[in-house]
Amino acid sequence: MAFLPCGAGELGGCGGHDRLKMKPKLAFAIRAAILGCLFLGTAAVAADSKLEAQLVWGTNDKDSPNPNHKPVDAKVRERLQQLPLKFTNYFLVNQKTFTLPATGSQRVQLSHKCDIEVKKQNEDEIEVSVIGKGAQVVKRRQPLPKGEMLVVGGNAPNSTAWLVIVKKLE
Amino acid sequence: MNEQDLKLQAHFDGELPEAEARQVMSRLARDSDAVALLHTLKSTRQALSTFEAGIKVPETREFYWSKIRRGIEVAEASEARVQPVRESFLFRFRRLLVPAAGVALIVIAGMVLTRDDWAGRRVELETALADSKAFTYRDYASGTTLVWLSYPAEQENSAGVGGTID
Repeated sequence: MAFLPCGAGELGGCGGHDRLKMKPKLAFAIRAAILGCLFLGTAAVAADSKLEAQLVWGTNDKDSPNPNHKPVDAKVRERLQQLPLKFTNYFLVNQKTFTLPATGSQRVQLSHKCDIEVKKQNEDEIEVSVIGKGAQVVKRRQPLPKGEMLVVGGNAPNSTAWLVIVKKLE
Repeated sequence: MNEQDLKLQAHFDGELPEAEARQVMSRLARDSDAVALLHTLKSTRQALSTFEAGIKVPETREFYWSKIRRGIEVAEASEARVQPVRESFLFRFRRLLVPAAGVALIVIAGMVLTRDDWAGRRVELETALADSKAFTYRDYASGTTLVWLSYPAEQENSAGVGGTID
């Protein structure tokens, strides 16, 4: 190895220090272990992330006309109510959990006309693009550590709203 | 008190030789102030002797004074036993602890008061220059970011969640 200037099988063996001599197999094992640690460390830094995307309908109506729509999770509801939105009820239209690779991006379909494309920028930062009817509606790049929530929303007919929620799970 | 008066006092105490005593006697015959001083000395002596006579010590004189001597010796011995106060490490540590605790309290109070929950919810609002219809609201307390697109709703909007929702 380059950082071991002395001959193979010896660590610090320059100058004839016999007490520091190692057997070739032991030296190889140490080098392999160092390489392994470096590899694992790199892999840990560039690990895949697990995210969750939700398409939510915000309304003041008590019920959704679609019986498949369920109210959002209580924690999500509580956080949505902290936002400056006027809606009293939020219904989950669709929810998908997906793995975001360390490099590259992931496209997730939330409805027949709403997709999102998520790209990992670094360990905590992501770029989210909301695509409606095949066209990019908005692109947002921001840190999204575990536990935080990104909400992208807009007006829907009858004074309601659509919301796309992205959360990092792992 | 002048020298004549001192001589008069010495005469009163019986300490003058005979020749000087005669001079004092002749002065007393012609000086009324000297007579007055002599009366004062006499009355003072009488008063003191009366006062002293009223005090009676229950013990003998030797025993009384030996008690006082022993008391003085005991007091001196106890004073000698008192060690000079040494500032132990704990004492010095305690002395440092008081200002340190004060500083810590101030720091903790600052931290608590600047917390989002106590100082009110810390939020941030920004408008994207590229799209004036979009604004971003950030709630630091809950870790939630809202990107709101304030375009008018379409019958079936761009996200495909209008009307029939999906």
